[in-house]
Amino acid sequence: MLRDLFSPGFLRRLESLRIEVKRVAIAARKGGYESINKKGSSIEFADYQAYNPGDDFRYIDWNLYGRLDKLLVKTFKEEVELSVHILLDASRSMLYPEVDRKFDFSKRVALALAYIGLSNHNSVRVAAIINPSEKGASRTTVQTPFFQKLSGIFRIKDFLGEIEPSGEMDLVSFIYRYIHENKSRGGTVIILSDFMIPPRSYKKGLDILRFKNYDIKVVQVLGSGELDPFKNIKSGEIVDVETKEKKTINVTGSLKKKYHQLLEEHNLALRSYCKSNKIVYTLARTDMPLEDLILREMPRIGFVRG
Amino acid sequence: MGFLNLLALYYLPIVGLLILIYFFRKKRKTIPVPSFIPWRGLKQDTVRTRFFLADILFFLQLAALLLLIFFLTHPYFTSISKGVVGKNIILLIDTSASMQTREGKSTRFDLIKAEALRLVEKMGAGDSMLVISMHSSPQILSEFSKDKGKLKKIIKTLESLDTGTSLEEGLSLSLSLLNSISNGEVHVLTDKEAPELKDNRIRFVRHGKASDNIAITGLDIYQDMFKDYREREAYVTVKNFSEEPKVVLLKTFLDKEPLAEEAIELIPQEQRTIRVKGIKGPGLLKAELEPEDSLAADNHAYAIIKINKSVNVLVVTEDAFLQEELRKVEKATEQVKFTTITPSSYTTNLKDYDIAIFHRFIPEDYPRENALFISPPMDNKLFPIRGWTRGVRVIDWNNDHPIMRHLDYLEEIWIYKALHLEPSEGLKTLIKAEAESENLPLALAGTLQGRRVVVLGFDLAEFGLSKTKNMPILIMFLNILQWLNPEGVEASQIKTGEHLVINLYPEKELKNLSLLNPKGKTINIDSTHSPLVITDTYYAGQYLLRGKGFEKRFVANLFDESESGIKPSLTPGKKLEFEEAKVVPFVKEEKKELGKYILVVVSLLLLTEWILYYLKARARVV
Repeated sequence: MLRDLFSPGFLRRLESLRIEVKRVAIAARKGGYESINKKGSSIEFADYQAYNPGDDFRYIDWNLYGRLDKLLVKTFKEEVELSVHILLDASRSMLYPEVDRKFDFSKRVALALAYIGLSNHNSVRVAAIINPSEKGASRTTVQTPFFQKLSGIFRIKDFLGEIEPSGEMDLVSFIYRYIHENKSRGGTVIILSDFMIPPRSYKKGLDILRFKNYDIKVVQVLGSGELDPFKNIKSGEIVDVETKEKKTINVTGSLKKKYHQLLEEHNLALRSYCKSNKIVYTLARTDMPLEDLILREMPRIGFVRG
Repeated sequence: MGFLNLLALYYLPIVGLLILIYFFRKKRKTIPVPSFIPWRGLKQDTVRTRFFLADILFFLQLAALLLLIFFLTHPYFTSISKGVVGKNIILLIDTSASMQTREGKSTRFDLIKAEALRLVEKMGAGDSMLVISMHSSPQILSEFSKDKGKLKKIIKTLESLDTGTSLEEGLSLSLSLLNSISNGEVHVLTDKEAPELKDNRIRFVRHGKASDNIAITGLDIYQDMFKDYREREAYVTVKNFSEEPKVVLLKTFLDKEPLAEEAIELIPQEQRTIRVKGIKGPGLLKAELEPEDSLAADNHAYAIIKINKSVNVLVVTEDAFLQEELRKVEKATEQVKFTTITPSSYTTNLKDYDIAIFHRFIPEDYPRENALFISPPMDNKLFPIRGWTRGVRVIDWNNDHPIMRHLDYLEEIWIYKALHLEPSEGLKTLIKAEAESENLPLALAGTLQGRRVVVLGFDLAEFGLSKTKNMPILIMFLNILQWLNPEGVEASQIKTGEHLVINLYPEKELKNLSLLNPKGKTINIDSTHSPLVITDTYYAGQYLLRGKGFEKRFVANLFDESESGIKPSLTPGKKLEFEEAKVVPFVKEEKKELGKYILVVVSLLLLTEWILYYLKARARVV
């Protein structure tokens, strides 16, 4: 039951939210609908556009051609289905630092967003960003079907409960596979990850989505144990849980300063990239209440709207 | 350089332990991190990546450890020292009464003081001297000193006292000191004959030719609490130590009032005892010989005639027979006053009594008075009692104890039953008895909580004290009263140099005590607890001990025939040469241990190590 995760009050407030759509997304089938100014096929007239080769002859306004000597085609407000793709980082890094419980927090965010989507009759799918080369990954992508009805939330919840984070995150190859398997079905893609990957990786992955006209939203999940790890570390050998890379450190004031600087630079690069590409970005700190993130922070930045 | 303890090198493997500790110290902690992104740009701690790091701290610790082991080997340097060997002189100076003997215009003491000063003057550059004064006991007056001025000052301030000589003790002390010094020799300045000594490092320097002396060698007063002043007896013993017959005039005074005068003719070495008559009251009795002879210190003697004061005795009993018998004793003695109460009416707040008698009763709080306990109850907390025994027969008693004085035929007393007392700490057996084939103490006496106490295992109430056959019991009872009487407790006459022990209670009397000696000098006495021991009794005459609200007096007399016998020994003295110090150069190999320097270096190393560690620790944020 969802109530073991979310309070009834919180669920009611989730139902009042909608996932914000910034631009036109292509949809191929009916489901949850959004009115988009597109050369759609609904009867609601929208505008005229200059004819381009390939446009449907049926929408050429011959009357205007007679008067203006221009080929204009009618555009209609097409009601298109909004598909919401919630991509959850299931790499091993989401389990560390253990004290942050990033993966658990991410799953709760994913579930809350899925609930918002389903409440608004969106087609919602959750997929785990895994590395297929990892042992135990039987499929190239691990994902749920699209759900339109609110009852789908329970299956999503079960799906999330079954994910075991492992391996190294390879966002680019995952996005390729995901798009291929989804036949370029458009919609809103919400990526939940710590984004502790090289900028070139997430940039390339997000660029692919951008080029495929997906509406992209990024949730960077980080915890205090990662933002300021020196409460528990004095000196020792640090090991990257994904790459197994090792390094011996001796915590000094200058080292701490340098760490914070590098982390900030990395996060800033992500934020800057998102901003410059109209990608909604939010930082989800695992030590902040989920309610604050969903009900206050996300509406504030236009991630969701009431 | 050498080592006194090479075995300490066995500690070297400890260095391995230090290295091992460093191996453990370098065992790194593994910290999993989600990503290397914020870490990759950080500087690797190259130092800690090595398996074993010999950092500066390690080297400092290693150096400190090696130095400590080095210290344990006791390294030393040998050095050759040259110098002059001097003598260590122990100077024993006789300051006893006989040294006051006049020899012409000066005294023997003046002669030996001059001799002592000459010895100091003759001391060589390397010589040092220690001065010991011999009177009633030897007293070290200075440490070994080369300072002639200081030594002379000590000798000049010496005076001869009215005491005997502790020659043997002084020699023993000197021999003991000799064993702990090198190049030591002892010079004894005395008028006494040198004992046979095998040690040729002891040299006697004897002075004295005069032999003309008549002395009072004893002044005995017989006074007990039952005697009236008229019944008190004083006896003066006079002895002629001269080589010729002498006639002297013996004068006696009571508090400066003349009592009697008697001319005595004595042949050489004759001793005579003269009874002093006419004592009519208390006071200071003084005996004096005229004319003066070579030694004046033994021409007078002192004694104190005690005040004839009645003794108040509290009797706690319910036994009518005992009360009746005590009334008879009171009537017969006159000086003893018995006040009888029952045990139920006894409290410690009763007015001051001199003695308390508890019959078949023991109070909750220990009494303030000296006390006699007769047949104490079986379950009392003070005196362990094994039980009752019957058919008790006296088999022995302590004749030396004042309580048992003048007692004979005690074994003829038949005691039907008695308590089997057990001797306890502070109490000694007075009478030993036999009953049921077992020996048992029948009476105990001693001191408890600063008070004199007597415990009788048999019941006085079963004896008619007025009956002739029980006369020994009556005498013992009177002796007990006398012994328990606080006025009779303290001695009032001692020999000069002896210690006087005075019980003072309550102990508040100890505050602000002062002693006025026969020379008129007041000495403050600092004592914290009773009994008070007075040691400053070096002069013959009357002493006054004064405190808050009380005054006690006692007298000290020489009464020492070895001091009064001033005639020089017929045995020839040893040659009294004093060899002036010769400068003897010496060459000596000295071993100088480096231990203390090593410890200083180790301390500095550890301090440096600590500072470095502190700086490193401060650089890290824990």
